Amino acid sequence: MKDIIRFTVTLLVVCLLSSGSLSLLYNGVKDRIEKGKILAQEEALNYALDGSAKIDKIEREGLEYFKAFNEDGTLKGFAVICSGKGFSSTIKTACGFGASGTIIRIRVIEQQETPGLGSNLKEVRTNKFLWDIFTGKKRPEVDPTPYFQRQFFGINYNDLKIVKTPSQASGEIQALTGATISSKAVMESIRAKIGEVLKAEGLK
Amino acid sequence: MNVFKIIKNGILDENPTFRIVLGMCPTLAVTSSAGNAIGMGLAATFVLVMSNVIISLIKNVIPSKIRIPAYIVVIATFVTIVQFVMAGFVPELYKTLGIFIPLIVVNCIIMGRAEAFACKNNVGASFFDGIGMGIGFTLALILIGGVREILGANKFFGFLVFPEAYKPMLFFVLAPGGFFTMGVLLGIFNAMSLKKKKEG
Amino acid sequence: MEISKLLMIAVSAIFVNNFVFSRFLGICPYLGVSKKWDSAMGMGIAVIFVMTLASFITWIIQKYLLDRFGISDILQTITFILTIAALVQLVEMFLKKSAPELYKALGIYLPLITTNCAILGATLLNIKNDYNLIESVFFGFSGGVGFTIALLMMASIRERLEYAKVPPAFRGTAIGLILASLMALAFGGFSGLIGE
Repeated sequence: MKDIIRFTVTLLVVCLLSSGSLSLLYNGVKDRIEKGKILAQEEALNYALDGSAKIDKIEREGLEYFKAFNEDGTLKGFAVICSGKGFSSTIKTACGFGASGTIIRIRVIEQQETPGLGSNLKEVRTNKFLWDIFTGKKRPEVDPTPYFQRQFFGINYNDLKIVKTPSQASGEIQALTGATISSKAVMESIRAKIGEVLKAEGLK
Repeated sequence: MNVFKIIKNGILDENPTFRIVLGMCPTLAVTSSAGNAIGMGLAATFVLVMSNVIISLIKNVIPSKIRIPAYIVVIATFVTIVQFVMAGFVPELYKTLGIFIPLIVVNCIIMGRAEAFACKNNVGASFFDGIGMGIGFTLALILIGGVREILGANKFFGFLVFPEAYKPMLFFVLAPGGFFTMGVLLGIFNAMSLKKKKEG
Repeated sequence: MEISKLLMIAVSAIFVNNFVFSRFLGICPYLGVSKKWDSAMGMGIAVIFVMTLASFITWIIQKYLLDRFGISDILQTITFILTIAALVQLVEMFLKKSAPELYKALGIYLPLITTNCAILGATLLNIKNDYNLIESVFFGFSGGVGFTIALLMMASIRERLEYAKVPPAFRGTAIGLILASLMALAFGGFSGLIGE
């Protein structure tokens, strides 16, 4: 009997100490975590719109999107966060587009696809070699945009199409090797979301 | 107390990955690139050091019958701290490592060191044991991650390694390649220690 | 709709995203308890049992305690691991009292399950994938089945391996990992089952 009380009290004290210190610590970092999330989203949306003077957040019929204006007050375009089910995770993409539905830029902001296959959504082609560090050789700068995402820039959402061979016509997006499902998920989520926003805005 | 001996023990003689063969799940899951491997290694090292210290401090207060649940709480607390810190400061890495961060709780290395070392030794020795084991684990992860990234993606920390004529073998980045790399490296380490034994 | 979604979860958890071969969960018992068919069977059944139960209980804890009070970020890891540890203890005591035969068969594997990352992994994945209660339990069960299949396959190969001439450096875990690699390669063939 005495043992039971001793055991219970000891475990209780351990648990109290741990949860107490955790909640204190959490209050310290909570703001940072939240702020980081908001900042990351803002940055992605700004990138997708290629910069704008003013952004309004609009919520309509359960649809959330952002309306962007130029400095002279004219409409620049819209930005949305699209999410689609990939192979092993939900892929979230920030997408900016004009009033006609032409994509400005996109950026994949969240994915946990298979490393080496689907994760290539964010893969950047590089020309820097490891031994350049030692030889000091300078190489020309390459495009820092992930090559998969680059294919979407300047394409109208109606023309989007996933192909498995190198793209021939404008609007054809070449799927990543071994990751057709991930590629399709990005493309379809963008196409559906742009359609929804344009419809809500009465532009379609 | 010989600090260097304890640390060397963790890195070489009792390397958690290649000698005792513990903590296989994170070892295989996060080593598709060397960068991820470092993140995981540092996170596990922090938990290992802190839980070793706390457990060696409280070892006399906790009755031995309930030591396991008490240790689990201590370890889980530090894992949660790691989660906070990573979510706040390196959100990208935190997302990439995914559920393998909370799964540090059930990493056998940490519980194993608590049982085998921290609950028998003083605070200082436990601290250095944690450091040694952590470094050993991290180095092993970097080795596996490096081999897989170089062979499978022709990259090391984002830099190209071989000239373009080399076509990377995707196999090494995927799951089967993880098992294969680990198996071969383990075989090589075994061969080295067998040879040493024969000579000595 | 409901049934087809459940079926999808099962196929995905057993074949496509097998816990051992593609998610890398539960590797320690997979390498440690796969030397004999009988012990692999015992371990497998114990895992299926605990994983199903743990999925059920942790889902309820998540929805009705952690989410309700908004403390999921702080206490999820601790509560889940403690729940699993307590659950394993309870199952052990219950089996000892009411089913001594079963206890004899599974008893020694139960304590090992607490530190099996497949169990904690399954409960965390349930929450991450936003499964409802039925889907969670189903995911836990089929995840366990997938694990057991992997374990039994490994055990049956290893029993034959006893008679093979393996280089001394590769005996034991090293050759086990190479085998696992070949099996994972074969399981990769299932990945076309879901999606398109």
